[in-house]
Amino acid sequence: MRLAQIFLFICLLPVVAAAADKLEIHDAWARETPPKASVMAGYLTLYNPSPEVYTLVRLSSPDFKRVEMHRTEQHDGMHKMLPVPQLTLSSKGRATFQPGGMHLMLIGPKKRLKAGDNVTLALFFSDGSSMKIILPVKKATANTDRTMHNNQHHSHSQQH
Amino acid sequence: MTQPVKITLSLIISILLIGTATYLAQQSANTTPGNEARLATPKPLTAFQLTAHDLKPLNIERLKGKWTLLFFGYTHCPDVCPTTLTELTQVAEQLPPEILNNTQFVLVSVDPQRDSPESLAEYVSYFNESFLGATGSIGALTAFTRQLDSKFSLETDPAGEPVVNHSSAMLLIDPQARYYARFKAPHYAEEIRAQYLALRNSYSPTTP
Repeated sequence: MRLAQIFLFICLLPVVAAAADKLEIHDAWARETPPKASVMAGYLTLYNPSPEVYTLVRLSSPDFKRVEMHRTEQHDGMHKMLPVPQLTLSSKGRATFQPGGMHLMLIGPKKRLKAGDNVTLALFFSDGSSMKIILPVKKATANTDRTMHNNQHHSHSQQH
Repeated sequence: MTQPVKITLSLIISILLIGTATYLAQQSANTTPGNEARLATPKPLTAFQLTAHDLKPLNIERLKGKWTLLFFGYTHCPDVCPTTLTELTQVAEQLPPEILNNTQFVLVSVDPQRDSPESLAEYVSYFNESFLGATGSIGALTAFTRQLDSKFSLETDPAGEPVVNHSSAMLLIDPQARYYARFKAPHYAEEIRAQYLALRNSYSPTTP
């Protein structure tokens, strides 16, 4: 009976690969904040090279009270931050968190994190899998921001 | 080719050439940095009172005699506000000293419930020691943003968290405390610097 269960488990295991095994993370970093800041921004690119569709449903970090996904939008000359409840990655899909666009809100730091420190982040997917990643904390310069929101800048200059 | 045809043809060619030249001249005028940002007529600001992070008033007197680059934000904003301040840090670092000496950079927080002048002091000086933070009562902020064709709103999300929305443009105020130009977001150091320098070069205090 027990053997049969183990056999069944092994058979089923490789059929659908878990999100956490398939997704690639690139360019992950967190923006060093001024002292006593209550929120820190995190950035990264998620890439799904697989034929499956995966959904990122929740994030957490032992270094922060709460982690949320947000998007900065411009409406009618106003900056607004809108929550992104979950993020679906289609096959070969890419999601980019970058300055001035979608970003991670790292809320309520347990201690001040400075350039050179690391943020540990756990990503939870709708298939029940999860992955742990590290975001190195960096002090942003205009140039790091620029390379990160290059695409946005490109479309901006085309308007003029 | 008959004489009238020749004349008509040369006329058409001349008109086309003049048209093209005029169009090109207009194009180059429009692409001069700062031109599209400048207000048709500078708008003198009327009395207002905010509190700067040094606990002294930020009022019309404090804007006089210097150029001011000012934008609205709040310190609990993790993405856009630090990005803009980082760009402004680069602007400040790359301005010639004589220009920098009479330029002030101001972040006006529209979230006075959470941003005290003291917390603003710590926040702005992280980016640059010379930057100024300021805030005020909701009433004073509403009147001030209105003078600068800007706005903000304070809301609460379903989870009870404050949501702050604010105009994304950066404002340039001239040394006579007149609202002089408006830079649209996104803000990039090179563009702000080029536009600011061009506006100063073409500036004459007596004429608009």
